[in-house]
Amino acid sequence: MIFELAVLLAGLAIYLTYGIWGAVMLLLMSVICFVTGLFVYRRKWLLIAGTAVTALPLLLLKTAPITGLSLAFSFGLSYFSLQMISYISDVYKGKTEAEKNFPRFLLYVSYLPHMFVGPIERYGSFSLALENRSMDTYENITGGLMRTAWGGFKKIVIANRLSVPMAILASDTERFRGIYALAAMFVYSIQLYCDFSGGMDMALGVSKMLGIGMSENFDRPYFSETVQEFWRKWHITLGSWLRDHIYIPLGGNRKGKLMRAVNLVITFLASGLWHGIHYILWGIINGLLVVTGDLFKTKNRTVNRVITFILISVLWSFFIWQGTGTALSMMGSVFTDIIPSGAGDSFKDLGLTLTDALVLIPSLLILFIYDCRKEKIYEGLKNMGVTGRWSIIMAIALIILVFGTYGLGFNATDFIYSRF
Amino acid sequence: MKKTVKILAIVIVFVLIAALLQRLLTPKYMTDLIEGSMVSQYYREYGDHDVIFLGDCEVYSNYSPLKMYEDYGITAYIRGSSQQLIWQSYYILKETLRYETPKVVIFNVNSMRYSEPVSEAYNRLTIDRMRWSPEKIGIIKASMTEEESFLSYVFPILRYHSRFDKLTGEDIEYLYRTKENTFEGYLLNMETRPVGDLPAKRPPKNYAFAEICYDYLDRMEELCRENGIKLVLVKSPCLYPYWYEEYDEQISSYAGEHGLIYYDLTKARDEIGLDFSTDTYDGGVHLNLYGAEKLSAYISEKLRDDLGLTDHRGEADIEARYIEKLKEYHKATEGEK
Amino acid sequence: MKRIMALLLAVAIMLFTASCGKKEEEKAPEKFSFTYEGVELVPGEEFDQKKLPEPLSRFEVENCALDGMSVEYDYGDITITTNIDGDKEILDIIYIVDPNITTPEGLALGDDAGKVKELYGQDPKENQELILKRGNTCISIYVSNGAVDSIYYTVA
Repeated sequence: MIFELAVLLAGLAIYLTYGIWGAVMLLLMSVICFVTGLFVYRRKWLLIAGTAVTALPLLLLKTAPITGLSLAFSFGLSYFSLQMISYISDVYKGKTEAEKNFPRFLLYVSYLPHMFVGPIERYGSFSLALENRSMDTYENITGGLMRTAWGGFKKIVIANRLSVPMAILASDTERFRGIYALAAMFVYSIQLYCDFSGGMDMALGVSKMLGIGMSENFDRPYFSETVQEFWRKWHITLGSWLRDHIYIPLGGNRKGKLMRAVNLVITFLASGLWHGIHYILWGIINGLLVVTGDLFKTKNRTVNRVITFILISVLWSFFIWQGTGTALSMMGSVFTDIIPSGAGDSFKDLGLTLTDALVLIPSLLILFIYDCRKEKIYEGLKNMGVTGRWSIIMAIALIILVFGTYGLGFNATDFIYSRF
Repeated sequence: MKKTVKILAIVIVFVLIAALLQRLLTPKYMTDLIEGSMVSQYYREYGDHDVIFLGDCEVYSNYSPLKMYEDYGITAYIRGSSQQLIWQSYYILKETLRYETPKVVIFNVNSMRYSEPVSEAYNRLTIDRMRWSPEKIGIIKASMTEEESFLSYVFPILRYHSRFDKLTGEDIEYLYRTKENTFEGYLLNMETRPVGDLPAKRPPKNYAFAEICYDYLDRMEELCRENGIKLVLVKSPCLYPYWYEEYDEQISSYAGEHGLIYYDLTKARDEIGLDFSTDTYDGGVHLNLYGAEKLSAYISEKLRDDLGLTDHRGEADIEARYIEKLKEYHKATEGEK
Repeated sequence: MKRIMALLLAVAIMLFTASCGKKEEEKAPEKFSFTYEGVELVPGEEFDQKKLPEPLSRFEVENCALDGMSVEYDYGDITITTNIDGDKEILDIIYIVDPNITTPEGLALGDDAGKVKELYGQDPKENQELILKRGNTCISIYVSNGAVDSIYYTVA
């Protein structure tokens, strides 16, 4: 209990530094959600009311660009809102018992590691992880630190470094069209993956240091053979949340092939909305690709992987050029304007240096090899002695220190996915 | 227990490697951008000086302490650096008082017109090589621009880590050593670029010096008073940036109120004997060696006559200090005279 | 079934409003620019002195310590200050000096303070600099004794 309180207080204290109103809103919503949980079992009206109230701030946040209403704060809102909604739903269905201990409930919603980029944890698995907290301090700290370091490497060395040419590529839609736009899509793919999964590794690593296991959110998504598989391996917890709270309530695949398709598209639409009002079209297109996935499948696994990667990368356009019209026009330019005018000159202005190449190429190679052989490497690391493991942790730390892109002009905590 | 010891050992090794990397990656300012090393030149051999100069490039380019000693026996040191703002001068003065107490502090009032930090780069040149002290903490806090962080001054590797692809021989050669880059704080320049066109006068809308500048001037005045030091205000005789009458009036009245001496050398150019076709290296903004030596002679006479400073020539221990310095100075200045 | 229809309808509305919202954002002008002798001058952008006629005078000040320098060109009716770093010369400030020169919006030195409000939508305060931003650039207008006393463009 002391441990939980300590973690709770520490988390809240840090949360407060992001603004007092944020903390107030979090507490308010937590109280509402907690109380709802106590009475919601098999009371449908309370389920609907509770869900509506909890979802309201999130909807306001996401529709702000068109309504003009802005929330005073929003740090972590997208993540803890979904957690609260899942809690109410799980208690209603009897999947979880209502939590009667408010501090413990508060710990669940305000658990700091998941505030930045998730994962979106279910109450059941969180309380289980808390109960089964690992007491092996050495393993907690060593394993946790190693994971955090690895995440830091992905985020600070690779993602941050790529964000510099990426910003330039995205800024000028006149110059950087056609082949540049295509390059931007691929670069963004990698940047987003490293940023998001790197942030995830850091969150999971910190949590592991506390002995609390959290859900995985990535499983080598770019090795997927279909778009459907991709969405089962990218932002896994969001996907399962959407499945459980939107897809299945709508009927899932239980009402025939057409309804399944409709339900899938609606679910992905919701995913788009969760990312922001401008991403609804993106969501719908993804939904359609999932539904029609079999049309793209070939017998060759590698070909499938490449096609899937290309499709997903092209679709990231909606995130690169924030504006539906712009994104569509840039996607189109790949076909209509493949070599834009002044192409050679534009390359010089991308801010790419030899150093970037010398740092990125080995880094991406290491990343690729790691993702290919994750299990073996993980096992190998676990079996290494103290000296080996800590040397690796320190080496990664040094690499981040020297080769990371951070410092003047850089806000290190700007995770791409914490915009959502 | 054994595990903890091993971990501790590895972490310590890492910290040592990081410290070495930090030393390697931090700019040395020894052959390139030597203005960055000026604040630390003082530590090479601090000693008793009768006069300490404070200010920006209008001070370190325009006075030659060695000339002041050679011809007038006045011991002086210039603690100036590029774009040294008034709060920086204040903290540097305070730091200097840890090492010595001069009789006179000469402060160039040009920096009264700058009330905001100019840029991170200039802050770094002035602050990076200062020794750690409460004054360094003060100067960092007072100088930081919005984008800067205190931590990056404590651990410069956070700021300079990306220099790994810009390292030069200088970074290795001066990893653990430094060399003399100035002549008692004077940055030698023997080039000549005569004055040509000067820009049109564009007086500011509001001549009043900012409150923050007066605040730090007050602090300097108080510091000097408490330590029995005579504070002398000067305005360098250069042609640009323009020193308007309204600026002059404010300083005169401040000097009058506080019983300070104020020399507006922009009005004394003829007396000093300055000729801006030969005495400047950048068209009238700064003096070159020839101008600096003229100005040094002028100010030395003022110090001798108005402030009664002693002529230390002939005093054995002081002479001993200056023999080598003067030799080096002559070697450098006679080369192209 | 009803739920699905409702959702689809909501989506349609949101899409429609989202795309409408987007169009308006594209219209705002991005910067202040000033045209002199047929050349467009924008603070913060590259400046090519050769495109303009010979200035009456030119004054260079090297940066204290750091590389690069500041150059001031006097054309008689306007003055331009630039910053040179390496081979790039970037325009910093454009001062209007002659009352015969007007800004693209129509303001000139000596104009009534009321004209500022008319042309730029903001009321200038006496003896206080009025700074208006557009993107990366801004214009500064100073009014003294009821009339425009100085106008200059610079980087925001």
